[in-house]
Amino acid sequence: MNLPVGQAGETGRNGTPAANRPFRLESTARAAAHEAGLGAGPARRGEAAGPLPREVEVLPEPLPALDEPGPGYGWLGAVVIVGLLAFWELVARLGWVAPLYLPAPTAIAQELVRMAASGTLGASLTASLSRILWGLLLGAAAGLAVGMAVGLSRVAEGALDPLISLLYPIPKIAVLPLFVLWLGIGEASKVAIIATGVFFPVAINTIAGVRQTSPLLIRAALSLGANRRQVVTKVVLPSALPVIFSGLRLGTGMALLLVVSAEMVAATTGLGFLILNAGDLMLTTRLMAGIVVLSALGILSTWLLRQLERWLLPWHEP
Amino acid sequence: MRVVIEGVSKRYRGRRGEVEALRSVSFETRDGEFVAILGPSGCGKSTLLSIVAGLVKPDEGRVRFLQAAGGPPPANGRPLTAVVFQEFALFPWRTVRQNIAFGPEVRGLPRDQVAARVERYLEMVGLTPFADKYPKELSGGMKQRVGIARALANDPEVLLMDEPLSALDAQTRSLMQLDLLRLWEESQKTVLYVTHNLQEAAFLADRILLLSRRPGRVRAVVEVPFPRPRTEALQASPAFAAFCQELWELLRDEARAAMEAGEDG
Ligand SMILES: Nc1ncnc2c1ncn2[C@@H]1O[C@H](COP(=O)(O)OP(=O)(O)O)[C@@H](O)[C@H]1O
Ligand SMILES: [Mg+2]
Repeated sequence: MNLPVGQAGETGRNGTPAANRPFRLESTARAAAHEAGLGAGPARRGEAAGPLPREVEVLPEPLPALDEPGPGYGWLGAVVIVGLLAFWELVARLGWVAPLYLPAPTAIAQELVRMAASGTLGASLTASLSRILWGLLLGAAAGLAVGMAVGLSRVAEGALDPLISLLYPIPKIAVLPLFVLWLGIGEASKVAIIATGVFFPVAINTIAGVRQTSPLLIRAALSLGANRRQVVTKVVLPSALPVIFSGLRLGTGMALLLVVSAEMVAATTGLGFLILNAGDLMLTTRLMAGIVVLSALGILSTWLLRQLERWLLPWHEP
Repeated sequence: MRVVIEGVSKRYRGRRGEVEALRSVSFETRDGEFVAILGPSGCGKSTLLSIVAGLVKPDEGRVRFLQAAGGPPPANGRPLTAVVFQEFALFPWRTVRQNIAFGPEVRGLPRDQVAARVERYLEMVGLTPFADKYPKELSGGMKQRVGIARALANDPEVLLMDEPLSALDAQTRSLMQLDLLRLWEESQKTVLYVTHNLQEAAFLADRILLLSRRPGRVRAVVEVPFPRPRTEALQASPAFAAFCQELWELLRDEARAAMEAGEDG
């Protein structure tokens, strides 16, 4: 676009034409374009001052706008889920697939209500939950203690770091038969395997969290009069907490996985047993009901941990 | 309280050999004096301050704190020094109030005394409305005011500031310089103030300790001739400009040599 330039508005205070200045204010450029568009032709005023270089507007190359939010499609997720459930229901109702293989969602819901009424659901849930909670508690406490020790003390680091690296990659489920052999078929072996599964992510994250404590903050605490113990409790620990928490989140996932595995291998109670038992008896509806409860448990634990984190770490970005 | 630095030397031993940070630095402050420590970057200013704070041990020499005889004896457990850091070094998990409370808290002051002190210093730095905010919610200037309040809440005899305003933008910096002057005039504490900004040193200090490039040695000690209380008008005066020019002439060769040796940092 060719613009007539050099109007009064385009000339700098010191008389130099705007085009010669390194920067032009955008508003000036716009005003010039506006005048040109209106066809107001005061170009002669500029021409009167002598020949002036003609200007060409240079447009910046358009860049993809990353900050434009655009419409959200979150509702599509709900549509897909509801649609799938409806389709599933239809398939089951019309008898395209035998209920033995694919019971209808409504049938699963009815089974859930029945199990809740008869007390089966409550008993299984209580059994599994108490194993999970004990395992989490023991595993997280041990992981925190060992992680803090390794993170803080050179001696503990030298002694335990290689051992942790060696044991960490062993799949915990593989060790389950050994735990049963050692601790018997009762609660101890199940709690122990869960605790072991929780221990490693918590310990490893605690070590990482302690190591990444800012030396500057430690210096600040020392200069303000904190002793060694206070540096640990008031600086190192809170600074490591977000990392410890993500270890705990990993550990909780591990606990859910392991409780089901352990109950499938050797148990007469719990959700894992319920599912395995239903499978053996070809009670597919009950089996699926068990899976539904487990996934609800997974969602609930994630939510609970997030609430706990918000409450404990209000300063931390989610 | 006077700070007496006697023949302090410091070498850092790292994987890639030794760095001699300070060589036989000696200097004595006066009672309640504001001393600026000025020198090219990397010359050991922070090291010197850390040594005074007791955070780093010197290889040679020592730092002594002398109290005027007959004055009130320092209260037991009362700290000699407190540090204000360039990077603020606030605890992100503590609110403004809790950050300021840190010193009195770890020193075991009773709860009500801690609270009273915190309120006093919150007020002094004008952060009462922000008391329950976390550091990440504050601007740089406010963060450093928390840093200063946190140091003052410890009621130290000597305030050590390591480029406290360097991370701030120019306007905030100018305003904070005035605030600092006011705070210092109220408290009459001895201050060691590290900076690499010579206008700042000239505006704030009673005396300027000029360090040479690394290894840091005392290059000169310059008396700042301007009367107190100082105001912004001083910075615009020809006398101030002339003084800064003199300082720059003392500093220039060291700064250039340091820059050419790639010693900044
Ligand atoms: N902890 C440390 N370990 C090794 N070298 C260091 C350490 N701290 C500072 N130094 C080195 O010592 C010299 C002086 O550092 P510093 O006191 O931070 O200087 P300034 O504050 O004047 O910029 C620099 O060369 C720096 O790299
Ligand atoms: Mg420094």
